[in-house]
Parts: sequence; structure tokens; C-alpha cells
Amino acid sequence: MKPFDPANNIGPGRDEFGPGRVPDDMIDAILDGEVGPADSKALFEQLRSNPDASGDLNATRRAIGALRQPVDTPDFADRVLETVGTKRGGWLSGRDRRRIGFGRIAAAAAVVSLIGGMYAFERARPGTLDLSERPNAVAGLATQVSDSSGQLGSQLASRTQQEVQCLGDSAFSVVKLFGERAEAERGSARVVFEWPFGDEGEITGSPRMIVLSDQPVSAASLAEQFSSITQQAGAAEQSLRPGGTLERWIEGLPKIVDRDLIASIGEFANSAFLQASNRPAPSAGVSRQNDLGSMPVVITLPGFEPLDQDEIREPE
Amino acid sequence: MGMDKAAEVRLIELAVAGDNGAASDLIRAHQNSLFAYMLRMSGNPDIAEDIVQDAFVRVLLNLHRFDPRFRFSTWLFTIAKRLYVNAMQKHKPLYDSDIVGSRKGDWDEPNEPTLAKERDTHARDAIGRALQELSPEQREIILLFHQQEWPIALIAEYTDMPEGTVKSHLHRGRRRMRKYFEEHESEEFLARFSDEVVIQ
Repeated sequence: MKPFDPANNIGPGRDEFGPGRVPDDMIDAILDGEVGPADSKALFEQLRSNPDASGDLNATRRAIGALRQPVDTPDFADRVLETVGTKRGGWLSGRDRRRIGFGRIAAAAAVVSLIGGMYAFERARPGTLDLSERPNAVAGLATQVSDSSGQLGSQLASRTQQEVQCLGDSAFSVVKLFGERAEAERGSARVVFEWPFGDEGEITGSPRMIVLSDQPVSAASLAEQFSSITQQAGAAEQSLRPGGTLERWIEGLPKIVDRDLIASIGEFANSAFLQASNRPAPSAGVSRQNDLGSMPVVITLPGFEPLDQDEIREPE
Repeated sequence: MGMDKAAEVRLIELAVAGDNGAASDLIRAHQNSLFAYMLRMSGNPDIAEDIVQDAFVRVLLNLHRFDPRFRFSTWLFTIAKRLYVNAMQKHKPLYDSDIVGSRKGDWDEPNEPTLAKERDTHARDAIGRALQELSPEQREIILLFHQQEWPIALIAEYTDMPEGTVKSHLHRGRRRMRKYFEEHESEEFLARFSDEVVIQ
């Protein structure tokens, strides 16, 4: 018999050794699981009369069996998640996601209330919310609403708080947000992020952002401020506990916020206005001066210097 | 692990959305098979651990790019393979029998007699040594087919080889393994691993 040469296959096929030998191809077919029931019966009969071939088959099967022995696998989940969390800014637990879902509802309700309040206020005191003299900022994504009278802020806060109290503890931060707005110092701001959720509570897209303040800001300033905010990861979980504030949540935001997200604010605000007024936006309330091509909600960020008039441009 | 496609896609969607629980489940569903594969491919548990961890990290960071029409495991193994190739360029693929042999599987009972444990360690060493006798292609295909139980067509796609070439590597590799065991190990040793009907 020619010696077995693993470097050059198995050498001569067994059928070279005369009748009754089992071809290597057939043994391979068995081991590959390619022999059907009919063929296997005849083949196994043949193998029983051929000790060499059956010995080879058994030995190979045993070697294969050795490959399937389990190995002790370390648990990779925690360390992988930690590494990924560090690199991309964090994970959300199911509880957090649900809480964000509630927060989203609360934020949406609050904005609707805000717009509705503005609409009602405008109807009660026509001209108070006249925005015509206030130019749009942030390349048309943001406009401003004057609360210089001191009355608008308190009315909106009261109305909004009344609305969101119905939403329970999950709306705490939103209540706080809007409740403090009237007392907020000039130049300070609050930001609300609204996450789109699917039917089963899963996040389905990027967050929308709503910023409330009384000062216009530039798109460049917004981008810079967001970059600073989103680099501060790690506070999200803590801030999402009951009693946590949206402000703290934003400090821990894991997502990078870009100008595309800012662009969605106008769309959301339009929708909110329509819900509040139940009328086409262009002909209603605040939009009379503002046409809702831009924001009916004031946008600014904490610590911002008001823009010079020269920096404020009409949307292109 | 027997996770159906729909459940896996669901886990992936949740993980993409930032759900750490889903990401954990996804990792744990695949870590045993990937680690066992990389351990046998590299012959070194430290290298295997590094590769598996790095592969999962890369997969999770790019999970939003995953196309659910394809198999997640194939994608994961493809990334791991690239890392393995890179690692092998840095490390000589020397089988670390001391460490690999010390890694116990589920079949080791805590109170097993010392002699039996030594036999198990020897057995794992022998498997590793036999695999290292194979060419990298043979080792990869043998493991994918017999350890991971991938079909030939999938292995062909994964390795970018014609099915006939895959089979050729598979058959030659099997024979080399069998020959190694015949020359280096006893029948009693091989019989420990037989979980199939033996033809007498």
C-alpha cells in the first residue's frame, strides 16, 4: 500500500486496490452528510466488510467529534459594551428608553401648550407677539418670541405646567423646565430633545431639539455649544431618574447633535402649532408675522451673548 | 445558539437604537461560537480573546450598517477573520497548549478526579496540535464545517472560494487530522470524542 501523504491528498483511491474497496469519495460523502438513506444502507454494508475503510471512517469521525468539544468561553458582553459605550458615548437601558419616551410625550405636549398659549395670548392681546420687527436668526431655523412684557413667560409657564402635570412624574423635568422659564435670567435657556419612538417604544430616529430662550443665536454658535454639550457624556442615566432635569439629561446626551437636527425643529414646531390652533399655520395667530417658515419657538442656549443685529440674517 | 432570524434582527434593531440589554443578548448569542472558532484557529486563548472582543466592538459600532438580508454571524466572522489575519501577522501562530488545555469545557465536572482532568487537558492539546498541522485554509474550513456546522455553500461565500475548492480543502484537512491522530494518539483517546455510531 502506498503511504498516506497528507500534503498530496490521500494518494491512491481505495478502488485501486480491487473489488470490495470503498472509494475515498464515498467516505468523504458520508462525512459531508451527502449520502442519502438508500445509498448509505448499501455503503454501510460495504464498510462492514472492509475493516480498513470503516476504521478510517471511524477515526475521522472521532477526530471531528473532538472539534465539537465545548471550550470555556469568557463573557464578553460587559467589557464590549463598556468599550463601545466609551467610544460612542453610552447606552440606554430599557427603563431609560421608556423614560425618554415619556419625556418625549411630555416635551411634545409642553410645546403644543406653549404654541397654544402664544396663540391664545395673541388673540387676547393682538400685537403683543408681533414679531415683524424681530429678524429671524439661525438661517431661518429659529425666530424669537418677545417676552419683554414679562407677562408672556409667566402665562406660558402656568399654562404649560397645568398641561404637563397630567403626565405624571415622568414630566417633572418638563414642568421644571417651563416653570422656571419665567424666572430665567436673560440669556439663559432650556433645551428639550424629542426622540421619535416606534410602536414598541424603540427609538426610530435622531432626536429633535427645542430650545427655549429669549435671545436669538447664530447657527455657528448653536453648533459650537452642542459640540460642547455632547462631549460631556455620562450624566444621562443619573439625569433620567425621577426628579432629574432635562438640563442634566442634555449634559449627558450621548448623541452628536448636528445642524440637521436643528433643521427639524421648524417642522416639529409647525406641526405643534397646527395641533394647537387646528388651523393652517400660515393664516393663524403667531404665524401672521412669522409665517412659520421658521420657528415660532424661541431658540437660544445657556450663556450666549445676544447676536448683533448685523449677524442676524433673513433665511435664504 | 438557536436564535431565529426574526429575533436576531429585532435584537439588532434595539441595539442600534441604543439598548444595551439587546446588545448584551446579541453578544452572548454569538460569543461561544466565535470564541471557540478563534481559539482553534489561533491556538492561543489570549489572541482569541482579543480578536473576539475587538470583533464585537467593531460590529456594534457599525451595527447600523448591517443589512438584515444577510446572516449576522457571517458578518461577525468576516470581521473577526480580518482581525485574525492582522493578529497572525504580528504573532507567530504557535499553539499554546498549556493555556488552551487549561480551558475547561462544560464536560468538566468540578470534582472530577485529577487523572481524568489531565486526560482532558491532553485531549484538548492534541486537538489543537492536530489543527495546527493543517494549512490555514484547511483549518478554517474544517472548523467552519464541523465545529460551526456551516453549509458548504456558505463557507464558499465566506471564503470566496468555489464550492469544489472548499470541499477539496475540507477532505484533505480531514485526512491530515485523522492521520495525525493515528500517528500520535491512541484509539482510546479518539474514542473519547466519538458521539456518532461507530461502524464495526
